[in-house]
Amino acid sequence: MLNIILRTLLMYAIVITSVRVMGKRQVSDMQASELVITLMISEVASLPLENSERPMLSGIIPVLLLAAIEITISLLMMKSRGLRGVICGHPIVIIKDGKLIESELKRLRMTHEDVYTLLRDKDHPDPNGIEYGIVEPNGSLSILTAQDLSNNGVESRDLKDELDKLNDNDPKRGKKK
Amino acid sequence: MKRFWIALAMLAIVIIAGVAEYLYINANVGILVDLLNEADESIEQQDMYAAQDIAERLDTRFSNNARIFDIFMFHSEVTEIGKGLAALRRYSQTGEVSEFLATSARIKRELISMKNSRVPRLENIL
Repeated sequence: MLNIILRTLLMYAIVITSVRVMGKRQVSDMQASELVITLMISEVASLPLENSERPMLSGIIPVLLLAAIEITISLLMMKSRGLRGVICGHPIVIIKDGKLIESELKRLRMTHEDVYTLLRDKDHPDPNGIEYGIVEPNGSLSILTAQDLSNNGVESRDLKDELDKLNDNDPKRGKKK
Repeated sequence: MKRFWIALAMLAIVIIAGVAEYLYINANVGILVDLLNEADESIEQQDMYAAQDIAERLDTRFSNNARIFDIFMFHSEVTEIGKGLAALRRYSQTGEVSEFLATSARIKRELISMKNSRVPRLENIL
């Protein structure tokens, strides 16, 4: 029993250190890669605690490796938009000029009910009045009204790309490439 | 950038631990298997004193290294090999040749399997 107590304390210290080193994003809105790493760390860290026959190193080494991979990938993603796109995905516009874009909803495998739930979370029970509704790479919905756009415009480059793509496919606004 | 260095340090720890485990187990298993082969030869030549001496050396060597083996291996594996070596020592004292040879073969197989399972081969990775 004493061994289990000491192992638990040691593993707790290692996991806390790893999560702290990975940064604040790990404990708030997670991207796909961060979610995967977090799930894997929690699973791997529990193995030596469940089975005292298992050496602690078999838990510590994968936790350290996963944390190192996560830090390295997040640093590389800061340098490369392409890698960021591959690992985290891009924001996807699902509402435009107050209308749901069916093709994008299909791509995201989202139903109208899912969208309305997200809208209600954002205190917008109705898509009318929303200029753009964007599903962010972490799965949350961002809403831009006409007023937001007139104040700030669309600054984010990845979102600009998405909007350009959408406008190119819109026969009212531009030519289809 | 600080995080990058921390990540590198973590990677270094992981690589050092992996290489240390591989080298340590590889070297020790090699020595233990050689000693077991020597003991087998001695017992086949009816040299019971030599076999007894080697069995004692094997048991002592493994007991001294068991704590480090425990860091890298499942503790039940280490205990099982330790028990086998203790039995081997006893068989060498009582002169039970067939039991000695059978136990020696079993320990050798366990040690070699333990060593091979550390090699990053496709079958071990999968």
